[in-house]
Amino acid sequence: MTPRHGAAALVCLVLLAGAAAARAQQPAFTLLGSIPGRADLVEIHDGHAYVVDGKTLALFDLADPARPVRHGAYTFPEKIWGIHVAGPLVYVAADFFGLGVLDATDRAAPALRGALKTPGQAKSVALVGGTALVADHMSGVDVIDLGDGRSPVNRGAFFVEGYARDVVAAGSIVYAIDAPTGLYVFDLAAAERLDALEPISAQQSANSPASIEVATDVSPPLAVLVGGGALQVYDLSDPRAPRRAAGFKTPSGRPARATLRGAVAYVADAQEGLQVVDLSTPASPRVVGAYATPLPARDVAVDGSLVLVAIGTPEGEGRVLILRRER
Amino acid sequence: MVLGRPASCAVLLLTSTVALATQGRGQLAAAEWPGFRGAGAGTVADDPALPDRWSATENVVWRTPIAGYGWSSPVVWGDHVFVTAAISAGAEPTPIRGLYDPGDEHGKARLSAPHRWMVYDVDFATGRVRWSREIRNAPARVTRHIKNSFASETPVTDGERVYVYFGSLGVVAALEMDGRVAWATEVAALDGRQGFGTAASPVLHDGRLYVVHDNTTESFLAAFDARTGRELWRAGREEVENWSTPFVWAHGRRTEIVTAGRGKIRSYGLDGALLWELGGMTVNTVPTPVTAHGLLYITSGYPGANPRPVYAIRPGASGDITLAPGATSSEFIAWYQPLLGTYNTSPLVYGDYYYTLLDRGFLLCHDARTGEQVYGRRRISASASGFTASPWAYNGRIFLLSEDGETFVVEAGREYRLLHTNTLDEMTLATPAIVRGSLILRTQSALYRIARRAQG
Repeated sequence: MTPRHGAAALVCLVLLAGAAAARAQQPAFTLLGSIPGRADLVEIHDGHAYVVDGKTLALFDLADPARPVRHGAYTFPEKIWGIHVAGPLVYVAADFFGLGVLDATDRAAPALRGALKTPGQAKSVALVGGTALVADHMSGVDVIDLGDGRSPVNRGAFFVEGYARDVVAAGSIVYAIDAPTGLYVFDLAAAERLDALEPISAQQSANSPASIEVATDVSPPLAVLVGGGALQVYDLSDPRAPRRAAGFKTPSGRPARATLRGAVAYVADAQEGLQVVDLSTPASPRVVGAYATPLPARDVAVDGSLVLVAIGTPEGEGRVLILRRER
Repeated sequence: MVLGRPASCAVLLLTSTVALATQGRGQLAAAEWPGFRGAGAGTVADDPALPDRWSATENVVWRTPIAGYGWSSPVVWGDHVFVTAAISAGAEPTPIRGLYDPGDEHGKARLSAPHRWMVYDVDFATGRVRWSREIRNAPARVTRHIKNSFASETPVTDGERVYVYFGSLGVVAALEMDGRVAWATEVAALDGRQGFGTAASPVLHDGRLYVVHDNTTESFLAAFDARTGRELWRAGREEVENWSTPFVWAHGRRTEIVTAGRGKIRSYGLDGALLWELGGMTVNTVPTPVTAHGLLYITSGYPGANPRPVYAIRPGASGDITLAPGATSSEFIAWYQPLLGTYNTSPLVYGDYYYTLLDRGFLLCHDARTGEQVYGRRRISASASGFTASPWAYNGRIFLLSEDGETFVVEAGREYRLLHTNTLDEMTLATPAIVRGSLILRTQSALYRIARRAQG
């Protein structure tokens, strides 16, 4: 072996060791069970699954993930586009119905505590203290005083140019997206006149963003927009001025939704199943794990090591997979 | 002047209209209201008889129920008020107000029941239905958005006949003033890209009727002999859908027919030859062009699209006048605003100002000559469902009619000031006619004549 050959062998060994280490860090998943039936959206909260199928929200006990137990359900008159779970209450964006506040204290019989018809189609709901923010196709982002949830009151709306699709909040900073391309930042604390709220920033994002997630417990804080066949990653170091860090085409090219846990994005990536994308270097997202699903992945929720993936076809076949992340 | 049939009392009336054009803010006094938005694109000369306040009972001269469903606007000539409607033999879906994602369920409703396609002549003085004429009894040949109707095209009249176009049926017809059908001819009725149905109104100029029908199969602009109904020419168009009424632009150099479109704005000569074209519109082009100050204003503004352009165009262009990237003006484009376009409402130019009524209830004001902003987005009402009817103006006031039937009255000028609101409490998408001191306003089920102190 010449010195040159020796050096090359050393490099190979280092690379192989690195690859093995990387594989060791790659997340792996074990299928624990499933919830039968089509699911459009899924959330997990306090050991329970919240599963949306069309107009119906159903609750499941995941104490034994291998044997989920259905508690109860509530059916709205319109399609459910988004939910936000906060303790025993579930805030529901239900299309032309508007905002619904479900009391799930008795999970076997969730009951409508209150509701407010928003001006157009309610698409998503976020919460800031006692204020609900509802992405509404007609008005933009409605700012709603919840009180005890029985008689919500609309205080005004943030204007967006297109059709509002999703809204999330990080403290008083509100991020909203619209179709076809807008990303907006609003400051709820600075809002004095709620009859004509203007954004503190607005920019073009990916084409047709469908959802937005933010993570503020990482450095830098991140936002991820899903839509247009890709993830759009934003650096929120200045929370009032998102800076686009990367556009990342997922393996399917058709990501449906995502959820952020720290700097890791769990992506429901259509026919490519669940994809786990590392965003610790926001400018260079990389897939670090995956779970092949038998049907296209539509939504994903994560709580600790438990991962729920809603899978299904447009024809109605579907279920929710209950996975455990092993590493 | 859009109309021009020779040698009739109507022409004399119109001539006297022109003589009044120097009154008020330079708008025509509305002796007649012959087509969509009248001869002054929603503006008329000041007239103290015109109403400022009204309700379902206040200042109402008459209210006449109109059978069927239709969002065509009323047109008026002499003592004739014409409207169209389609009466379904089956269940009619309830329209949903506002802007929304209709999906297939609401966006392309296929209503297979036969419809009676109707033209009504209502007496201007009394509100009595003088005659009604069934043009066809047949199912629609296209689908429609549930907020659209099968009678959304506004008729046009020259005082000798009234001309109607039912795009969802593919029929163009002329009726005598006594209701007899002079002629009716079949044209294509083809679905557009989204299946929302049709709405572009016919226009009339110098004895010819012009109809645009953009669809995914065979889009065209066609000219018909208004006397006989014979098709004179047809220009093919590379478009897939369109709801914008063509505009006959008569300026010092020539007369041309300007059409907005999803792909391009195109202007045609009276022989159908393409004169000029301009790219850079949004999807779903609905507003109708207007002219003032020697400029032609054309816009489209699908919500959230970028750009949502407004172009102010000088006369005399030829060829492709599309702006170069980054440019905001050129030899034939006096000014351009990239994010000012509206979705459904047409712009209003009143005096020195260009007013923009956003469908979601905001008013903006720009300098009509330069495009410079006078005031930005002002929310008209947080509770209004939306705005589809185009704004109109007289007596120094701008009138903004919401889909709920509420008319918000705003002071014209450099400052936004909401004066009061008039309520009819019924869904309204049609743009009113303004004629001889009266407002002719159509709601979902009725036609109103509104005048100050309910004068007869």
